Amino acid sequence: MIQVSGKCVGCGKCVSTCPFGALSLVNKKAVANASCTMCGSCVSVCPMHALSLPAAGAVKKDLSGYKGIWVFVEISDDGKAQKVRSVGLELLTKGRELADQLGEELCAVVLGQGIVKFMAELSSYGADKIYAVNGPAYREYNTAAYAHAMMTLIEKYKPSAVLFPATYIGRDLSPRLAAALSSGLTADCTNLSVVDGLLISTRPAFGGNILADIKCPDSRPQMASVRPNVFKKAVTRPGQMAKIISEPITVPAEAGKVRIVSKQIDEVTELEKLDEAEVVIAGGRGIKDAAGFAVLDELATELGGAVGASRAAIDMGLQPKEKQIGQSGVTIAAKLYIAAGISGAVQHTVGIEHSDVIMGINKDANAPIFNLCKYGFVADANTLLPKVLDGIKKTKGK
Amino acid sequence: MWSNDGDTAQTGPEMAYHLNVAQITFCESADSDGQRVIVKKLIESGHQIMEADLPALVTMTMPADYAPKYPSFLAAHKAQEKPVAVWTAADIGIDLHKVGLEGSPTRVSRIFPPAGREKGEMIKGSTEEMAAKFVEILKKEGFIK
Repeated sequence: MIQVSGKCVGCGKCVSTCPFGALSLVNKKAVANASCTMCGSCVSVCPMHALSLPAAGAVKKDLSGYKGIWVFVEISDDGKAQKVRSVGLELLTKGRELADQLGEELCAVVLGQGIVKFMAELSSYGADKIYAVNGPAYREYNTAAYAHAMMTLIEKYKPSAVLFPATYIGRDLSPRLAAALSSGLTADCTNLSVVDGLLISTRPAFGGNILADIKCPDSRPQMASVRPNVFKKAVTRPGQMAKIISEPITVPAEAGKVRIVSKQIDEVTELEKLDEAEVVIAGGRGIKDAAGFAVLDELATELGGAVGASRAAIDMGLQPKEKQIGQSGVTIAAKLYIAAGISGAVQHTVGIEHSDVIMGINKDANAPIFNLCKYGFVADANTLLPKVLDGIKKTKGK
Repeated sequence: MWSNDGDTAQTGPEMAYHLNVAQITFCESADSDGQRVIVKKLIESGHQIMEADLPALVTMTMPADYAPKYPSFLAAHKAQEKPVAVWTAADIGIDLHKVGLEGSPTRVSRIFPPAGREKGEMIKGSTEEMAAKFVEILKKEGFIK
């Protein structure tokens, strides 16, 4: 916990600043209790400079050799065609910005079979270098094979930070690497930035309506994972070609311990793809039953959109898990998002904040969802939406 | 169900690494014949049936049709008499420098409330008036063509 020196005069500023109520005054001196998370909020407000974080680790590692931002790029394969998953391009776009701020290079890392065809595309999204590990053994994701290849590359080239997509693959690979490298990984970040040369990863924290900036000061590489749709992708270097470094890496024997028996790709219509939908209509606790969601379905059909749900509605069994929007579900970036009967906890709103127009319907005028809405309706969605649906049909009929 | 690692899903793979065993994550079901574990694992836009030689670490995700099984009154009553083992860090010989806040390579540097958007327009009136306004907005924003 936080350390209090003899300079403390008992002014109490730190006590009111502490977000965790971990500080109190005892005999006119600040004292921290077990609730202290060492967030450091109090250190900067102390006018006497009496508070400090304990020095981490007796011997600091020399981190000066670690340079550059890496992006682990995932190749998707639906059985018909391979392509670069969009989230990799989104991360390259953000990574370019961070690398420029640091004055360091941006590198894409791509593992797979027949990946040479993706080099021009990755270059145009800003990569200075591409580390390519090509071979049939990398066609399908395998934890041991991918982790071994990434470890080999990281130990050889020493990146300062590695960004992963928070996908099934990225979320399987990145924690295993974090443990192997004894370094820090911040999962499911909602923003990334650079402050004082360190990667700052932002994510909702402590299960509450609060965001935390998380850093990894004393170990490398700094690692973070980010969901699809959090960042916007942009071609920043049209026509340019990155330096390609091909690394043949032999797959370790332990890769054979896990085998794919069969693979099933579900047929999903375009309209059902929440993360790519331009219009998304989601229901929450306020949509009480299947009949309520049937209205949302009809509305989605009229507006050419997809239906999603908040965690509350998923837990009530009204929609399948893959329809969940928010921190532990899908992040959307829609042109129109309609939240029906959703209160708007931060775990939900981080999944929708990249949408353009947000319309909210909730019976509670004080529901936090209204803080994000361009248009807010204090109403019961179950009675309002059928009338809206009629209105849309009439308007179209004219 | 709510994970105890801040919904980060990091604990499973990290533990698998420390145990030096294979891992399969995001599984909906798992079965074993004593030699191997066979799982249904979620992947991008589908699923895979996978098998791993034992020992292996499998992390589960809630299946779409999950329904919790509630214990009978008798079972709940009997459960109260079962011994509960409580282990402290000392009992399992943990190096305290490697766990908890001191052992964590990451640090929280700032905590702040999410930034709100510019305050939007609140629409009032009867249900009919609000519905009419709703449709009007959809038209104005170009979502009804």
